[in-house]
Amino acid sequence: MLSRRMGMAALAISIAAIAFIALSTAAGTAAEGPDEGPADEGSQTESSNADLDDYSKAYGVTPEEARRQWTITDEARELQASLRSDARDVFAGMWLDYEPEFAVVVGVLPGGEESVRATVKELGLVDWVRLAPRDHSLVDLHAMQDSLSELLPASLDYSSGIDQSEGLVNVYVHEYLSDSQLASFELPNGVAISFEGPPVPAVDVYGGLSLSNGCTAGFSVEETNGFQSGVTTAGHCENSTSYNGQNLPWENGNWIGRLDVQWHTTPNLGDPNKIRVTQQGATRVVDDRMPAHQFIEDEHVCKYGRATLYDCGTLDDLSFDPSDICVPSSTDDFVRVTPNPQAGDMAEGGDSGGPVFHDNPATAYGVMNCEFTSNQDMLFMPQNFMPDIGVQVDI
Amino acid sequence: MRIAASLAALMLATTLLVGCIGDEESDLGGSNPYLFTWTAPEGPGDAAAGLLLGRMDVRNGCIYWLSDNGSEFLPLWPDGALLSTEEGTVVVSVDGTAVAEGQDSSLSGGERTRDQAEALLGESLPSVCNPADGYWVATGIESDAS
Repeated sequence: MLSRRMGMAALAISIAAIAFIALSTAAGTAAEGPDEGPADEGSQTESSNADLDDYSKAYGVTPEEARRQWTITDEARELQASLRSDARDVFAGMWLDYEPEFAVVVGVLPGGEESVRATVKELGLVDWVRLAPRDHSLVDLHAMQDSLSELLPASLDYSSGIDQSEGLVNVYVHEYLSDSQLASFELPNGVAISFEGPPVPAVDVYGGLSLSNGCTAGFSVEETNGFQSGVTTAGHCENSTSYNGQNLPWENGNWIGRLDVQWHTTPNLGDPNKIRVTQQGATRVVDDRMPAHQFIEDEHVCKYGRATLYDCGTLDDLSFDPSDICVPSSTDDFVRVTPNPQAGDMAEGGDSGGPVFHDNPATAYGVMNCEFTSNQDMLFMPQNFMPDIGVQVDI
Repeated sequence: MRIAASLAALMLATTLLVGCIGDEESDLGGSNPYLFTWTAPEGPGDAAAGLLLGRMDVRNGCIYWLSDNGSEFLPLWPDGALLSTEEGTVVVSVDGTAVAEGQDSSLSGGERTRDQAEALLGESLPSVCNPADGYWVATGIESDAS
């Protein structure tokens, strides 16, 4: 028992000694300065002001002038708070100008200048504040920003912000849309929309290319409401598909009645209005659409599919009603194509979805959907039925 | 139309099937998975020209097709498709082209809904064969398993 008590006492003394040494060492380190090793939080005092030095260099002013501008900025905060509460109907925002000389700028709606100047004068900031005319109050800009969800499609991935100096609500669309598609959004004056996302894609997907679902892409399309773009393939092909490792989300499609088409959006890919026409990869621009009611029997068309590639033929039957093995519950709206004498088989497994077209630049006629086991003919769905699934060939 | 199947236990569980593969078509005895076949209608032989890339997967007595994109289909085979086994592996052949379970291959044809598939077959499909993504009216096998 005695031995145990002596052991406990020795242990306590040892712990106390270790603690004393540790504290002494820490104190000594702090006193010796920061270069001697890690210091406790709050033990270092910066002799200079790196922020002020940075500001001076960035704006080409002396440290004294930098400090003066900071003081003015602090005083402007009170002005901003006052205008936000007391002049909300005419206050269009506040920002700092550095060129040609430092100034606090207040955006003001027409008619609000007098009341804003009075507040500026009251706060003693006349020498540093200038007014800039604007069309929308800051309150209105926030209201416009809040209403974006009602003005833009729910499927659109975007973010937004307010640029007070420009007097704009900025909408940043994260998926690639062309300028014309961006312009198609009906947004109020004061809202600017732009693409801001992944770099403009270096890889394109368009008609004639092989998709991972085993079929062929038909045409680049755009929604009839102009919101989104994408590519088509045949409706009876697998819905899940990709190109170049990029998933192509299924948007809409069907294979019944007069339809045999589906379309997919193309995130992270471009979808220009062109089609592949050779195995080597040559393409044609698509610049026109031919509706079925303007087809003429025996006229010349060509097609491209991943299995049978490029071939041409003639429109043999403009009112073909396929079997259920081709399209269930079909109507007589499909078109049968007979190959030219020198052409081979017009369609085999995998060609479905491929573009049917004429001339260069190409006029879009339709998308391939069925082969014939008894001969080398093929069937296609006229492109003018695509609006049934909400899209049209992009030209 | 004809549905051919020969999984005895499953046949007892359903009254929807109309037939089974005969001895002349299969060497699987009484443990055949379902092999649903369709007969081409009279006419020029127009058929969907899609292509389903993937491999055959036999599960719970049903022959599925797992696509390279991760979808699961139930193939409806053309009349004349033959079912057999090679060293315990299920093999289906169409017009002399065979595909074994698990072998990368492709089926020409096109997708169907369950209602459309049953309309094509003229019979209801057994509930045990319930693919996650759809049905595929197969017109042929695009690669040779031999």
